[in-house]
Amino acid sequence: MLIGMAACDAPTVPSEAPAYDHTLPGELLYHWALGRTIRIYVDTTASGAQLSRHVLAGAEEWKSVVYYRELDVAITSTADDADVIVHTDQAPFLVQFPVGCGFPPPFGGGVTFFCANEQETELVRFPLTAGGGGRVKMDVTIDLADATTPTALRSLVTHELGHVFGIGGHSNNPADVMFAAPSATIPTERDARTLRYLLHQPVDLRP
Amino acid sequence: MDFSARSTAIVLYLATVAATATAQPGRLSRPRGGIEIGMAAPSLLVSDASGPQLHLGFAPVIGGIAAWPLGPRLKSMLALRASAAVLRGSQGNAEWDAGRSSQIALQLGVEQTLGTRFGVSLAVGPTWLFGPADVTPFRAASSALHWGGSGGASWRVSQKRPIAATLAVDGFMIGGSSLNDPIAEPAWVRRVVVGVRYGG
Repeated sequence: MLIGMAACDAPTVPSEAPAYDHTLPGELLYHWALGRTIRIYVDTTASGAQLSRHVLAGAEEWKSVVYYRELDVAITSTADDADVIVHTDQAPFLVQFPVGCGFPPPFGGGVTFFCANEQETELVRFPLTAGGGGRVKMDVTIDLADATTPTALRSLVTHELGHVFGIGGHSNNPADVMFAAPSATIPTERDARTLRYLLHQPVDLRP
Repeated sequence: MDFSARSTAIVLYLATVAATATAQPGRLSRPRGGIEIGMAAPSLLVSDASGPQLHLGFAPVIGGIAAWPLGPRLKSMLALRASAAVLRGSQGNAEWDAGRSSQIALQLGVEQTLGTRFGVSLAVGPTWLFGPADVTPFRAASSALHWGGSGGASWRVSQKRPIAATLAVDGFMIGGSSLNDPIAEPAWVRRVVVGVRYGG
């Protein structure tokens, strides 16, 4: 039996292929360091507590699709210690966008905005408008005009969180939550496979 | 307990040990009990072909043994062992906490004494493995039950007392338990366990 035990490989999960293009234009790939807790602050101005609930639920949905707890999320009570800020278009930005980064484009139901450094090796930090520095690397805007129902809001939030966690592209399948105009509220197996794949790839841009 | 009562208890204990030690082969005699404590070295639980690995950390092991003599140098042993370990995920320089795991193994086997102090053993039996429901291999496992076994050696450190140092490789098979199991092919999870046994 010892010989048999020594001869066998360890239990192995085969590699998966992504279901759709998960990279940014220029085929750049980004994701947070595995196992790092991504701290999200939800600005509930003009949205109430429902935005927080949807962010929490959406984050849990994405967390549930990875196999080894390599994706972790926490909701913070202030913007000071957040990596990501989620707010609606009715709320003012809590961060400033450095010169050269541009500004979040005013299109679509939601926008996840971040900016690479000149070397395109990591994301730059967005200083807080209130001062004090902060550590924000991503800003997510949800357009309330497109979130007319709780389901639509949930769908938009979960979609944008997919971008936050590293899915830089869009699915061409309307059933997927990462379809450009999403109606799904939870990640499909295709979404899940794509996230799992990209999380295990080396990054071009480190948040 | 006064001195005479303590002496009586010791005599009764020694008589019991002597009786079981001289039991005739082929006859089910009263088993000799024993306990084990040990430590399992970190081991690989799951390897993902795309990079990540999931490890079991150092795991304290405690167990109880019942042994029946089958011959002058051969005995059968029934062992129940429990252990617990942290789960650590890793890929490259990244490492993270993936929860806790525990296992209980019931194994039936034999031990052959070689010389006066050295013994080798083989055992098989079920292992129940528990862990967080969102982590592979637990998330898709159809049952906590897995089949496994162990092989080991012991070195009796004292001729006066039944104390032995033990070294064993134990393992169990996981994977392929359902269509949704990400581990498509069953494979062995192995651990090296060092410990001390008293009795048995």
